[in-house]
Amino acid sequence: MAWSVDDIYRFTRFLCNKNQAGGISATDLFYAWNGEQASYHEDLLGRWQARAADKTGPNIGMIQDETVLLKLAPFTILVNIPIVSGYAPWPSDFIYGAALRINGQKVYHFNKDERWSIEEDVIDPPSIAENSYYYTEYDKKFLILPTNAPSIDLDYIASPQDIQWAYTLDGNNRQIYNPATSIQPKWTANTIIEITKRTLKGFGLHFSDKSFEEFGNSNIITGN
Amino acid sequence: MAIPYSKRMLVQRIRKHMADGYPNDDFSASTNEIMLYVDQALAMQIRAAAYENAKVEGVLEVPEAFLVTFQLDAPVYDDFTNEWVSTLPQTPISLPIGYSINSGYIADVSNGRSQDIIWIKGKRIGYRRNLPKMDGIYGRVENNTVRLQASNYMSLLGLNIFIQMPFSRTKDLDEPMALPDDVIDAIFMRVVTMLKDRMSIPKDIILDDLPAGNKSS
Repeated sequence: MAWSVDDIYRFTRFLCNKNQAGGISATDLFYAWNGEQASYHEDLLGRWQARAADKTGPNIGMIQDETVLLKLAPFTILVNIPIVSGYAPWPSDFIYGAALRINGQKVYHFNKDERWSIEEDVIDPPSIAENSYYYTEYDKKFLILPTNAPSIDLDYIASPQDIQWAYTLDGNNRQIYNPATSIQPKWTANTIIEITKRTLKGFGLHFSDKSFEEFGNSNIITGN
Repeated sequence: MAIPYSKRMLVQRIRKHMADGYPNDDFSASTNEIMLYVDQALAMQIRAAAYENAKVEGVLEVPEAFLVTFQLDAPVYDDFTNEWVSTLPQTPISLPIGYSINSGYIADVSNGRSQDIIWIKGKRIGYRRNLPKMDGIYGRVENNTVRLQASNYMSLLGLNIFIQMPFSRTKDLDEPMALPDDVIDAIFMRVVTMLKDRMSIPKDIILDDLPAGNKSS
């Protein structure tokens, strides 16, 4: 069963053993859960440059195994973006490019200081006829060579949308959950439970309660 | 089931071998680049096969599987030397003339195939002009051009010139490869070795003004 934002709210209150009026508001949930959701998402994507740049260890990027890819599947999107004046703008929720193709062909990534050698390349010069394409990143967009290529097919990982427990007020001004205007999580139920447990760390800080923090931390370390 | 073994298949096989499956975005060697390695290795194998035959049979012999016949562009008259010049599909590999170019002839629908072109080394041309010669077309090769002259200096305008030669380049990735199957192994091994060499060169793209590799301090 897919968990709704209301299930998350109830589960959080259960874990904190607080009632709605006295403890955790929908805003509290918004801050705590979405923060942990973003952290968990980053954990899956890989922590960039996890080691210092002393070149003694590998930098950790996204590990493309089935477990990680399936957890990220709700955020993995394939989109076609037209190229305008050589630039393809990123989607607004873009955080990680998984693959990039033009006309179904590979697009090679290049660093900025390699551009001169690509443009004078005679083996694989940027060319639509030869299906030889290159890209690099600028501010919220890709620069594509050749600049007159039509469009890119981009597989990317989108940032998770913030969940929201929306409500209406009843006659006594109590908040009543409103599923119609709430924003639901895209994660699977298991992941939602894990993220919810992780939010206890934030609530521990909020309530100045060490036991919450320890529980949240143990969940982050062990996953349960 | 016989599958036509094209160079595209060979390139893909090499890529899969190097990438342990389907190559991903990190695989930086393009098809064109691997093709250059393949063509380079193929040229070496044509030479190797010719000299290997010489060991067995006592004479140089280019295996027929390497041979491809091309129709050359219409020859152009060179006013200075009175020769007719056309361009070869590639610069011949470094075998002696007669092997680097196996044969050449004129042909058309009405008359069929002519006598073969008589090949002469470039440095012998001056000397041979003073000798009696039989009727026919004499030819010499210089870089990627072939220069022809009829024994009676008649015009070669509009004639269809065909050249049969071992061909180590790629003009079509998808047609069956012009080589005997037994040299595929050597080409494959040679290209894989070169690609391993290329890919194992240490790289440093961290822009920190420090030299590549581990820090000593």
